[in-house]
Amino acid sequence: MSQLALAIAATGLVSALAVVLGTRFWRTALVVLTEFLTAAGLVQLAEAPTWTQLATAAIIVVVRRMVVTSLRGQNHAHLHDRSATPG
Amino acid sequence: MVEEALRAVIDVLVGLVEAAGAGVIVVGALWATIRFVVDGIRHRDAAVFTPVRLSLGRFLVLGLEFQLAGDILRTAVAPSFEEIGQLAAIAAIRTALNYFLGREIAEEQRQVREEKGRGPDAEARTGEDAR
Repeated sequence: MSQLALAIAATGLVSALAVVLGTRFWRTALVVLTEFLTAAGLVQLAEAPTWTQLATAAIIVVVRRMVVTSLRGQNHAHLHDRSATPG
Repeated sequence: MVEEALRAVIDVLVGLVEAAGAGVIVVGALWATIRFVVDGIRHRDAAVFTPVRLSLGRFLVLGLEFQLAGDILRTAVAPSFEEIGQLAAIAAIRTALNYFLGREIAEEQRQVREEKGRGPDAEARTGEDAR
């Protein structure tokens, strides 16, 4: 299972790289990478996990949540700035 | 004797259900990777990635449901407090993640609907904001 998790993390890197190279949107790429890392953490929990694996999965979930919340806040701020700017 | 037989049956069932959950997540990750690479090369627009991310989120939620089912099955034969503690921790992580993913999917679906309602100008603006 850990090799499968590693493979998912690798495909996440490939996907994030494709997003950055294709669009230059690094924030979107960061969110994409955290989605894949979450998937890898979940797959690793499928077999009988250790406390370390549990803590790692929990930390990934928290980091992913923080990244998504932070990016969403920045997007809202940008939209607010644009709507406040005349023209 | 009966307890051992029950334990063996539940072990097999847990293995099957958790393998199904892991399989769903792996299939979702592979599918999303192909879509990210193909759409990244073809469209060069951040807006096209939102439906792919939504679909990957749905795969993760479905996989989590299977894994939670496996956890619940496993509690039928949990001999030590350490195992019960680990099961509780896994269930808490998966339930929290399931909740957050569900909320994010609903939020992003709402944004996609709003952008479609506003037209192509709004989508282009959202793409710029993602930079």
